[in-house]
Amino acid sequence: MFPKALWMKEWKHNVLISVSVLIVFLLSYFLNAVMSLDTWRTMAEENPTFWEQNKVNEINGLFSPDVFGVIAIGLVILLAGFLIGLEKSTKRHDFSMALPFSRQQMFATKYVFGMLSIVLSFTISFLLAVLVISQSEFSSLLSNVDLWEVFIMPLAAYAFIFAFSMMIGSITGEIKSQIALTFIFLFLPQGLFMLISQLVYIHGGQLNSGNFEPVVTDIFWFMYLSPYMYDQLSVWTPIVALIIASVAGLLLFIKAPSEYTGDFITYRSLHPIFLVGIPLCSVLLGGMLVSSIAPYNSGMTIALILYWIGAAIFLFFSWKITKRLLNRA
Amino acid sequence: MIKVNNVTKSLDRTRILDQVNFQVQPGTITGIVGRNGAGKTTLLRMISGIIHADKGSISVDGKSVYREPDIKQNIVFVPDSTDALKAYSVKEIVKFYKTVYPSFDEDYYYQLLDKFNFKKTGKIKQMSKGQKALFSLILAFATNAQYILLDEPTDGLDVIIKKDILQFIAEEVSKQDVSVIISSHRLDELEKMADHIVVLKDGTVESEVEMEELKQQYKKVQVAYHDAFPSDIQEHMDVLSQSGRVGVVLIKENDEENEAVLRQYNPILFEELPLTLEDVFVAKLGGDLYVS
Repeated sequence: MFPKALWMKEWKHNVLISVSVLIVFLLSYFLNAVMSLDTWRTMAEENPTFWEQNKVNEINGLFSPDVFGVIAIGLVILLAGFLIGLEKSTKRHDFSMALPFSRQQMFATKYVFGMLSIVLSFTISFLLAVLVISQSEFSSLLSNVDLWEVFIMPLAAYAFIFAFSMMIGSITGEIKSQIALTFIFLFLPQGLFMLISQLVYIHGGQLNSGNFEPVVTDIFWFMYLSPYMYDQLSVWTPIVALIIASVAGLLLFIKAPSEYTGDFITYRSLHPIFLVGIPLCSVLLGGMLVSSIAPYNSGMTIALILYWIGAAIFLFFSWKITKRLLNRA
Repeated sequence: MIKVNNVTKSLDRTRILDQVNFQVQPGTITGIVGRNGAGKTTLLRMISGIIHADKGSISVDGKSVYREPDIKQNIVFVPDSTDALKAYSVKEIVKFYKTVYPSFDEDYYYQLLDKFNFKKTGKIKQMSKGQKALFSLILAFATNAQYILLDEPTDGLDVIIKKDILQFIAEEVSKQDVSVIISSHRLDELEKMADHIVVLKDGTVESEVEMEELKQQYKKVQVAYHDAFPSDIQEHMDVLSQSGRVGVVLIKENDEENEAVLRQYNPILFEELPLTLEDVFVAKLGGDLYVS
């Protein structure tokens, strides 16, 4: 299933980005833990009362990926981009596809290579951080952290985002569209929710946000980087999403038409969806942006007029851009 | 044997290949000739399993390259660009090829590098364009694969490296039991080495010829007359070129009738010239094929 030659090829082309992922996780957990020890010692010596009040937050904060988590997400998407999209953007695609291996083997090797890079880097960094804390005078603080939860939640989110980007890479024809569409589709539910809310609001209505709670929690993947949100989230959501994205990615990779490699989207059957979807979202975005310049004290009529002016302008340009993207100009 | 059976392929609703049929026999050189956009590269990409045919089938030694990709251990596709190799060094690529192609002959690879004065260290990207083209051929032939597909192997190269490459291909085929398929729009290059020519025009096989038979079928005659060049000849024969009273005509080898017509006007010169592949195709395909 995983021919040695394919491992060699993926290693050759992707080792740097994999090491980058490891470095970010090491910074996020291991180095952060080492540095935090000094801060905590100072805090405990100089302001013991403040330390007592904040030590639980401090230890939980250590296992919160924060900014490094956002960087890691960027690198995870880039890793998937290097594995699939970059190959398509260069002449390496024909070279790879002409090798005596099945597409299942090719996708499986890329997938496992990327997934192992993420899981091993994360696990090593996380365990090193735990080891550092457990060997220090602050080891008792670990009892205030649900270690399994702070380990599995972000890891599941990273793994899903990687699998999702691999799936997007299987339908796109090059790395730029893979990365752009991965970001767009990761935030599409929340973005659409916001745009539709504004559409309804400008026309005098109100969306019941309670009905859309999962959109801004369960499938808003950045939530999985914050331990303070974990009581509202289930690890099964990213795991189920991961399985779906992985299977879909494999099937799409196997069937991907290589003749359109280099194009925005390789699957011609998806063109109508993008031809409608991109302008539609742009209309909603244009309306929202332009209506926001309506004076505060003006009535809803002005806002409504501006909304549709913005929608029309964005429709015009997005239609032109979409046709060019899909080579239909 | 490679069998291409009724292969049809469209890209963005444009028919690129339409019911293409031909076979490649073991130990032969097959030239696929056609103008730019005729479908040559698409055909080679399909034979090597990169893209799928819409209709029809391609088999290598009776196996489908799509369903049984292992058979591709016997096929090496050398595209017109060597970009895929540029990240590797001369030594690294050997390790990789040995893993991909079990019959890769490392000793022979280094012998060939010596023969063409290649350095045995350094990155492939540091080589010149011509060296890269020659290097990718060395790699391909060192695999000992049974079928080597070359997409425009001399495109954009200077005459010296072009000569080296063509000579190298001819030598390798004579030494090994290997079949080579070369796509090119240069008939003059192919005619020196190809056993079999497949001409693609507008996505279909316009003609398919065996070189030996072809050269025995036609002859090229230069004729000159006292008076104007007879219009009768121009109308009824394949005139390759004509300037004033002198013309070059292609006729079938045993076409006594046309030869009699040429002679009936009492030519002051009647001389047989060496026949080239280009002459035949220019005459038979209306001069629409050859692009220099």
